[in-house]
Amino acid sequence: MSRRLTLYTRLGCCLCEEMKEVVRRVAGKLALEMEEIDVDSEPELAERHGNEVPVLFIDGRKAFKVRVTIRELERKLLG
Amino acid sequence: MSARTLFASMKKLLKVAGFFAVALVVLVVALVLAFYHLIQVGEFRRFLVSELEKRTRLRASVGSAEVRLGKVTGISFGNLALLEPDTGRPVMTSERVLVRVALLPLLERRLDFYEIRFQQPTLKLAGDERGEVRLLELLLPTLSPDQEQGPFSLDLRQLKVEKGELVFFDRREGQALAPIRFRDIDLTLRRLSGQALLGSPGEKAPQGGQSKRVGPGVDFALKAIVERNGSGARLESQGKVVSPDGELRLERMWLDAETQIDSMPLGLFADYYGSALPAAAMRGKIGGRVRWRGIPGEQVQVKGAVELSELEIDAPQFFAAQIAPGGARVELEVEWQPEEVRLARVDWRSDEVSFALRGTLNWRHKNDPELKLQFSTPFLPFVKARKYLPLRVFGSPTLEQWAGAVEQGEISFVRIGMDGHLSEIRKRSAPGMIGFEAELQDLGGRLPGEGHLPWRGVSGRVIVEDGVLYYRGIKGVFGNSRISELNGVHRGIMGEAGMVEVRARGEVDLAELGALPGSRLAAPSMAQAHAQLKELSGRGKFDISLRKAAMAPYQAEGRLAVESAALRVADFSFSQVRGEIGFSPKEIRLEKVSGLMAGAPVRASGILNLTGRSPFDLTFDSPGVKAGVVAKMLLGLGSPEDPGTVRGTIRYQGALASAEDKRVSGTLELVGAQFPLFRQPLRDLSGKLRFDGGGIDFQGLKGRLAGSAFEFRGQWRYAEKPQLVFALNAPEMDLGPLFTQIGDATGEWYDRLQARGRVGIKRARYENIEFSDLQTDLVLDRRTWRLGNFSARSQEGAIQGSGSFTDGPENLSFAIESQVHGVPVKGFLSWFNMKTTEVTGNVHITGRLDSSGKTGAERKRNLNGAFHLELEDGVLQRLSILVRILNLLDLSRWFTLQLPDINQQGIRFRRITGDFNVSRGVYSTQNLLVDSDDLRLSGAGKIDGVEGDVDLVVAVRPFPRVTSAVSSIPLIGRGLAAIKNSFLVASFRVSGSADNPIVIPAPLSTLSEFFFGALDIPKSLMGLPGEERK
Repeated sequence: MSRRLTLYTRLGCCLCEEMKEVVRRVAGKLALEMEEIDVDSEPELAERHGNEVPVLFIDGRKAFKVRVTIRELERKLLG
Repeated sequence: MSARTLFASMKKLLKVAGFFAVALVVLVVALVLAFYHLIQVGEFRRFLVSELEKRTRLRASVGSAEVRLGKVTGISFGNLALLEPDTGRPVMTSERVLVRVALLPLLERRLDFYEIRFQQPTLKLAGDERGEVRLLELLLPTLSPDQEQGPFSLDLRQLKVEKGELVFFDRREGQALAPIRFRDIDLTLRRLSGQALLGSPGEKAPQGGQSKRVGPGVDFALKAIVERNGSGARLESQGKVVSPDGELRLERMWLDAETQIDSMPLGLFADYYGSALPAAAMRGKIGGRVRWRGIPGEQVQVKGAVELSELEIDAPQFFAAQIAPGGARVELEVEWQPEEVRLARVDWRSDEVSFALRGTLNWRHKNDPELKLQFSTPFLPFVKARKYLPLRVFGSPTLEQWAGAVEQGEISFVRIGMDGHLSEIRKRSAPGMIGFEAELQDLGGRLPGEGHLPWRGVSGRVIVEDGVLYYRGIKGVFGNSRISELNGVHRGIMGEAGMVEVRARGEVDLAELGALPGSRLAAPSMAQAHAQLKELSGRGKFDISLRKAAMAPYQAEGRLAVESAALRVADFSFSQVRGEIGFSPKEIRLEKVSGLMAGAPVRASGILNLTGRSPFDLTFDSPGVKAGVVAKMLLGLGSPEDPGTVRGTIRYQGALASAEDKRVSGTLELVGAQFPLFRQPLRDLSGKLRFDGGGIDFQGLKGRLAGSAFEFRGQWRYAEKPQLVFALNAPEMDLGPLFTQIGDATGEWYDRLQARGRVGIKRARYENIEFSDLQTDLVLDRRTWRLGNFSARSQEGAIQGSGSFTDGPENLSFAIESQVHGVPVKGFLSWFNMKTTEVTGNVHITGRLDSSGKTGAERKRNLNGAFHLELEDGVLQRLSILVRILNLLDLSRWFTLQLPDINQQGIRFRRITGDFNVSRGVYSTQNLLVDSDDLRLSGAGKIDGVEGDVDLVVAVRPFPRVTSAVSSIPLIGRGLAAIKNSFLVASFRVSGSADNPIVIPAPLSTLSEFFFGALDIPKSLMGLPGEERK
């Protein structure tokens, strides 16, 4: 069953690029549906997540913020 | 009743009426006759003159008299004059005086005069030293009760002036005032009865009047026109004047009068009473109706309403400019005493201002009135009310500046109090002498000058008391910032040295805070930080106390909570900044401040010390910031957009602007970072950097330079030389990019770099030179790279040596001293971008070379040095010079021995050697030797490496191992010699282009001994050049 990942990012965010790369690598091994949302697109999102981007939600639940390693993400997805 | 009866009654009544009519006519005739008789006697004239002189104390003269009968019965005198007894100057003249007579006493042959009418009298009076007119003192005595003297009595009950004129001259010292003229005077003075003197029920009796005998009194009605300097006013007054103790001086008499004035020039009033008022000039007109009660010399109550029009007042002691309220209505209730005025109620209403005034003014000290006044006003438009504020009294530029800046809103003075002599108030000798309490409502305005924000909606209370300005509950909007509550005190507002203590809460627009001029920031460190601040926006809530001691800068204490702020310091932008900033007189503390730097989260904490030498101690930490941002911030290199991530903590201590006084410490982890240290930036850098005050430790850095991976570790020490000590290892690296900084304008950091390290590169390349197993010590000293203990393998050979390269901004120079062992010719030549298939073998070179130049061609031209060249075990194939020489020899034709085919197999040699000197790109040698079994060749001359020209003398001995040769060898010019024992030698001059040289035989005599030695030919076998010439 495919897991649904939502990644809140913002333009020019280097940590977002790091996390996206991690997700990309994991996506090569596991079935993932990935959605990327710019937190600055809505004031409410910016207020909620603006200071901790990137934020990764797995199936609608907040799983990681700022950083994640491949191993941590795999463990979370498989666990 | 029948008609007859009625007729009889009427007849009787007519008879009675006829009797009384006849009797009356007889009586009148009798009276007239008696009256006429008495006048004719002339005694009455004397009596009248005597009485007037006695009562007025003036000399009187009366003209002829005549009896008047009719509606008014009396005696009319012409030309009445009252003269000063000493000078004879007329005080009063009247064309006609009518003295009215009581009819009944005439029956007793007595004349009682009860009224005098002055018709068109003219009076000339002078004021006394106090400027008062003693008209009543002149007239009242005439109304005194009389004692009978013979047949006459002057018992005047009424005195009238009709169409009179009075000219009043002021005698006060130092005054030169125009006279006041009263014209069209209609005055009626009527002696009061005893009951009238006591007053009507409910009225206040004369002071002390009820317990004493009440003296003479009159009631009066006056109408006149007052004129001065061509302008006039209508005056009406009526009332009564009573002398409580019989003294007939107005100032001692009790007065109860009502006066109405229409449009009296205020200047007239000001001339007489202005000295008592703190005004330099007053203009306009005054009118109104007032009631006066009291004894002028003691106390008078004045009550009524005054209308002022066209009013202008100059009172520089109170107001900065002339005030011109125009029309005003003043309702007043004043108690006047000779040296004091008590203002029970003065309510001023005009178009612009209204106020109520209470208090007292006294003049016990002449020209320096003592004021005890309390003003109060309803809410007034500030802009209109401003000019009426007596701010000059406070002598406070601060107050005047603020008042002048107001553009809208209202103010209500709950009270303005003054207590003290005017001179003392103006000198502010005691702070408690003046004060006020004002309620502000919706004020707006802007102070002039840079950095002052406009304010609006300002409300609250301002109090000045005992020289202290209090702010109570002030709120309003300043620019885009809002103060929700401000309380505080400002001591010493009237002096130079003030002290301010204010506590304020509200919401601040950070952009306005950032726009404050740096000069207004007290602490140098704040000004320093402010100077670095390029942009600041967002909002914050503050609760802060400001304190400013005399001659000291502002000190702040409190908190500023920031929400979603943005700021830019130098090139670095922070957004969504939130957190708390604490202020104290000694420091500004960042607490829980977080934000985004280039989109990455950053937390900051620390202090800005406002007093010490090291003002900053700030710590920033982040889970990841763009490497470009960090490189720009810490090294001033690259672009904030450069890729990669830097995470970790940096602590910044010291001064912001001074490099000497700052200290940066922390630990950073690089992930895929890029730093443009060289023209080819370092890419994909990972590893750790540890900072401290002394330098940076590079721990396990990995990255790529010009596409080559490397590992790097080392230390950077700021205070040491070299700063950088390192070890660099790479599996493969192109060294070229390291030496191509020419023309790079961003090399400032590189200009200063001093480093020492060890470099190990498995496979290296520098331009066309390829190395393997490169190991070298490297010292980099401001663009000069010194290689020591250099060793590498290249093209199966080995290179050792040392050298230096100066990578100057305009050119590249080098000096190398090296040994090359066993590098194949092909590979060796490829180092210099040259190719050949004509020569093979292994190259050995030992020597030194140096050059400099911007381009390769330039460096080629500037090449200098010396080296020993040795090629071993190679083959010369199709070497054009050699081919031509051998063709000339045409050896195959002349010798039975078979030479190898140089075109097919080449000539195998054991060794080629030569010592070369290089000067400006020209190689010269005197001992070039080719040692081969097939031939031995020696040469000397020059090869121009720049132009590609050669100029050589070459000697060739074929078959050096052949000991005998054919007996005859054709001579080819003078360059070929048949020598004993079959030795053969030929010499040639080779010149021109190296690719297409000109080869011509050269005489053997041109050869030096080296050639013969090198060719292994005993010189004794040769004809000496000198001999040949013979």
